[in-house]
Amino acid sequence: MNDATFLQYKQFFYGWAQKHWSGIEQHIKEEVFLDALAIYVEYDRQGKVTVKPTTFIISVAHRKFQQLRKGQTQELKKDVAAETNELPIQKELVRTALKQLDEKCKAILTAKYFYNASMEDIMQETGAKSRAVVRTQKKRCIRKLKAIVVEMQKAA
Amino acid sequence: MEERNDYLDKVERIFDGELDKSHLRDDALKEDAAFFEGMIEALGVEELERGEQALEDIDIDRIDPDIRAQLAAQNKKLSTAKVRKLTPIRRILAIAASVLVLIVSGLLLWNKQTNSPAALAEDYYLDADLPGTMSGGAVMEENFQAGLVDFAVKEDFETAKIAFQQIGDDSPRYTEAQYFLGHIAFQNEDFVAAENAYTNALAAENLPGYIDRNRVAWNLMLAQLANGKDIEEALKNFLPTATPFDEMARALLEELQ
Repeated sequence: MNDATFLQYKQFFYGWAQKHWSGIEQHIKEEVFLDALAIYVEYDRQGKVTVKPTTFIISVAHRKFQQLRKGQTQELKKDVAAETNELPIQKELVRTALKQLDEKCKAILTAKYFYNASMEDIMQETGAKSRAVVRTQKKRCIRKLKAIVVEMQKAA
Repeated sequence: MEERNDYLDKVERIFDGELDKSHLRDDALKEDAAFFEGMIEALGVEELERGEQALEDIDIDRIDPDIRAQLAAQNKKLSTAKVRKLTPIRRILAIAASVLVLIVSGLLLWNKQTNSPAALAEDYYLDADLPGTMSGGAVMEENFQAGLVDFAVKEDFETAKIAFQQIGDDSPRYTEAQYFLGHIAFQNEDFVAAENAYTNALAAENLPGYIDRNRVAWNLMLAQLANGKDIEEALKNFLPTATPFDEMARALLEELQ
């Protein structure tokens, strides 16, 4: 893996970990990142990675962090199963609306709000040519999603 | 709907970290805050579900020791890499780039009336192109060189402005000086001066290689927008151009309409 790609994944990982696993010590985060990256590299070589590299790495890391925290009271807020069952009405509505949003918008919003990615990273991820473009697209995507939610609320 | 968008903008800025989260207690923002929280959680759930499916046949406890060691070495190398000392020219350009990013970020953080022409103009504004080298080849005129150093390195825009203003229209550096005067005026929110300077820069038949004519035209159009002029026709001229101008033109048109 070249250095630029390595650093890009590392930056994404730390953006996400800082946001969702802020209580974990730095050296543990580093170990988990290297484990997740090693698993990604191995399975990528075998052609078994079916999602974006960042999605794969973060999913492995998520499981690793869960294993580390197992038995402790402070679980990650976004435990998939629990989250799905416990979403309040408004959040469930947003979740349904999100499925109607185009992939480009989802990618921008996910990078920004889930991975805590920098504007430069989002530019790379989405192929946008400037920060201004990313900013504008992000705003447009939020408005699109909000409009879908409002329509759904009206229909309900 | 306009009022709701204002709230949505404010909430977006809170979630972007530009505004303090205490604002979320404001009743008027609560609905949008719930929407944002829902959006962020839903994005996370969807992304992790996608990842969960991809990990179905994968054993995350079995790690190839060779790959792991290789990555650890790479990580160590990158973490301890010495910062390469930049040459003076590169350092000046690096500082200039950082300064410009800071200036533009600062401009965006100023709290403007949402969707006002000035706010939109600043949202879509593009940083200044800078020459790839500041020496070698032809000797630059003293004022131009001094102005460029004041503008890009010292961040002393007032002094840079005076230096650039002394470059008359008979100088071969006139167009470049006007281009930088446009940027300085825009950053000072003197949009009338920015419009004049960019118009002068754009009037040149040939621009130096490092200045993109589209960028000058784009920023001129934004200055006109901030001055309350109708720019829709000018915007449409950018639609057939290459990215990022076509994308930005489409987005700005949508916002204006």
